[in-house]
Amino acid sequence: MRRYWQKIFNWIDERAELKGLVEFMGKKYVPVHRGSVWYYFGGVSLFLFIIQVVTGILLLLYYKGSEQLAFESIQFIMSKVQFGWLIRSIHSWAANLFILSAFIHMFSVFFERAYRKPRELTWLTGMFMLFLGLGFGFSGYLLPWNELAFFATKVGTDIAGVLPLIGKPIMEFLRGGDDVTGATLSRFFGFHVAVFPGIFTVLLGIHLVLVQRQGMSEPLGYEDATGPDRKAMPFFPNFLLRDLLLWLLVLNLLAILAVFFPW
Amino acid sequence: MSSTDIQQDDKSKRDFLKYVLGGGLVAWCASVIYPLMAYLKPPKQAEVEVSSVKVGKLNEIEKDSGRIVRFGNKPVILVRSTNGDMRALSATCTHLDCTVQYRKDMGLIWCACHNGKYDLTGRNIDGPPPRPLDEFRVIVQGDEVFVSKRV
Repeated sequence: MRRYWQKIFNWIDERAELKGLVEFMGKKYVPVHRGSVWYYFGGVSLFLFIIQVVTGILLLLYYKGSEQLAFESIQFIMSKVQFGWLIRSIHSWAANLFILSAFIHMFSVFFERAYRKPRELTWLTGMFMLFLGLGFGFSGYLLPWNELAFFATKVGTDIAGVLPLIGKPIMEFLRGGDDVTGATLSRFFGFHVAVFPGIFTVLLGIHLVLVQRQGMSEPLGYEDATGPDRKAMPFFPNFLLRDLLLWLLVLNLLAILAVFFPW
Repeated sequence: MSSTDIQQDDKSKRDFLKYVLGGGLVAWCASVIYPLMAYLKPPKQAEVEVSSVKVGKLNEIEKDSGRIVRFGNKPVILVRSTNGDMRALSATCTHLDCTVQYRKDMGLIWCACHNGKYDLTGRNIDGPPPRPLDEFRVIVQGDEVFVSKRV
């Protein structure tokens, strides 16, 4: 078995020079200290984003983003499609947990002052991803096209409308007209499944490349520490395996929440 | 206990753990994959059972013409011959499911895909079609024409 993997690896390595990448990954390490636990929340946010992409694609198989059909198609997903209720419930739970986990991630970066030079760009891309995350939430909330969604969007876009000068045009742009109508639904659907995911993926790519290139941020004072105070573990495979184990736990938590407290 | 006994003991303990963990992993994977697969399977849609469809007014249907009517989600062809007889046939070619049409010049029902030909009673007379077109019933009520399934 091992020999076959070795063969496949060699075949790709001859063409794509994987060895350099493996070596690079081997060099990255994760500092072990009192606050190490906070290193996991970026990974958890990433995992929840992946969950959103997967469940979102699954929902797209049955959801219809139009004025006449949106509400009915949700009813269809909830009552006719096998496990449709589960997929939808996971999608809304993971959406909320994503914001929670992103906030924990960002607060830990903030309080550890991990955003300091040279990591400003990582922080900025992270900020934009948070805004997009909120945009995902706002646009996704309209898609069920029920009364709650309708009035929430009405109020939400009204808030944009009271901004001086630019408010009105923004509100009209968001609504696709003067009022919340089927045009708004079409727009929000487009933002939710195409525009935001596209931008988010680019930002996420930059964010992850930066994290890999610059390595983990060390807490203040860690650099001067010596001996037993300066512990670290390799990112690959030690930290990654711990990450995966946590992802497994998060998925189980999601399933429990989605089944027993359907959202 | 001798050292080999201890080794033996360790090995069976390890095997036990391996089976428990491996089995757990397999069961976990199954509990993720099963709902996904079930979700992907499209649910049976309650298909609306159509028993008859209105074609139009009798005086609007010309002699020596054919028209395709949507019957549920299948096409039906209503052919009115030169002498005014009407006949409704399934418009799905029995060869490869293309939709057939009435050809004035031939006085036949013809399939554009592979040059299959049927006479006006739906009998396959030329080309690849293996069997005749299914027949539907034409009902004239007052001046309105309906097509319905044969019972």
